[in-house]
Amino acid sequence: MLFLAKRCCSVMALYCLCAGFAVHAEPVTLERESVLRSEPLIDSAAVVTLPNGSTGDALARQGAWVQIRSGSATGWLYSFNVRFGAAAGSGEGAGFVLGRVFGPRQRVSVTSTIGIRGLDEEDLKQARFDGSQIQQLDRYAATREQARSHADASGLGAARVDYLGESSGSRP
Amino acid sequence: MNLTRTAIARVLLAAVLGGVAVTAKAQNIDLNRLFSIGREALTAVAGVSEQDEQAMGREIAGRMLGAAPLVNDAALQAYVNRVGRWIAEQSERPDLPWRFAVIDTASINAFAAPGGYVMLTRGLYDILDSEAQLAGVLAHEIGHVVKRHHVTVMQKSAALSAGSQIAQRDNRSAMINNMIGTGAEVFARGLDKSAEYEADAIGVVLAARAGYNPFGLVDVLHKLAARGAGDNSMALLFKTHPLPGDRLAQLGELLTPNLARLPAGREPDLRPVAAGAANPRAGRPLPAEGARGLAAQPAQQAAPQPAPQPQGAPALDPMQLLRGILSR
Repeated sequence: MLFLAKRCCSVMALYCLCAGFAVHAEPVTLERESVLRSEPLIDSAAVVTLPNGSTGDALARQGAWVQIRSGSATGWLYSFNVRFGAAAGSGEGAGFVLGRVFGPRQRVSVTSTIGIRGLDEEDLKQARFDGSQIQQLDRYAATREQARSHADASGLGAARVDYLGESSGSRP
Repeated sequence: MNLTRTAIARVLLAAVLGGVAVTAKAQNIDLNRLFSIGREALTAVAGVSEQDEQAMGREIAGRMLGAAPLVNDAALQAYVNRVGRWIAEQSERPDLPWRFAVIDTASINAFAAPGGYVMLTRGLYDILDSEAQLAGVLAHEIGHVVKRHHVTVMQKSAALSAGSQIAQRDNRSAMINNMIGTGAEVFARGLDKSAEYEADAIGVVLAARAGYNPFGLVDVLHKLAARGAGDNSMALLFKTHPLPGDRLAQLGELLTPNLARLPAGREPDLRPVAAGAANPRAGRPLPAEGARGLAAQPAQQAAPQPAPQPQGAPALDPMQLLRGILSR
């Protein structure tokens, strides 16, 4: 009986934990008035126009688009029009998880590494040449053939893409 | 016509020099010294050959590695070099002796040194989710090298300090050292904002040319923007770069009219850092699991641990479950 009760509590605790994560979805704030679209395409149907400052939860990302739920509406926004995080726009950052939108790997809370300064200006000023490390770096260098081989294995083909012009257009 | 212009130029030059001489005499300035300083300044501003550039880059990279050593994971370093070299092949300077490194510090940052040296921190690597995001970061840094942004900054700096008379026309080593300055402080000075925006725009294109999802860099900028200015691990990054939100705004303006001509690209999985990769030479070493290990400590203190699983109960990873429910 005690065993069953413990097991029940344990499973419930985990479900609560999961529910907490689900509720604590990645918040987004609109940086400008934007059209929420039915598909991640500029010419897809407009679901609704959301005013600047609207908030919602990010569900997925595809290319330049992010799927969000705002109130009862769900659709796709041009990702440059939003900022992620509960304190988006305040520049203060937020303790949330970016894993769902940007892939499964990022699970570190945004606030978790605050306080870990790492390399600072003084470290850079004091830096002294380390010959053995630079020689080690030389040994890691890739040849052209190795680079090409990696690209082939990952299904990466070189594409012709011109540099971006200076012209600007209206935002989606 | 040309002769007339030359004659006018000579007259003007004589007048200027005459003026300088009169002023100098009046103020008791050593003219020879003045011209010597001017010559040194011109040397510093003028030609920095590709060979000089590589020597500068190697010196700076070596100093940087003195401050933060390589992450002790040969397979990871080789991987980053292959990804980086593949992107660099798509640039206007494919023949540089490109070197890429992950350095052992919790800071979130990346650096480019002249001549083809690119380093990103483990703190940054740890927040990446895909090879396309890594490609975006590396392509941004490659953009700095291609455009010789740091060389330009160091040339200006050396020209301004030519009065110290350290720079010598016939001593390239001294000139290079003068241009680099103290330690690896060149990375603490940063570049013009316009150079960072330009590298962002180049980064998107080079990643796309290499076959990656061109929005990898945009994803990373969103991550940085979300972490906010209060994050100490990005203190140096924020000091030397425009705020990520501003970079996103600039890039958005530039990309908007070009969305249709960017290929979708691919997002291969990112190679994880091996266990035990922390370099014992690192001044502030990370635990084996990297920044995440540090991250876990305060979280564990703050939040109670889930009850241990009774024997025989199914193992349940809440994050895995969550990913299953919410997978794209």
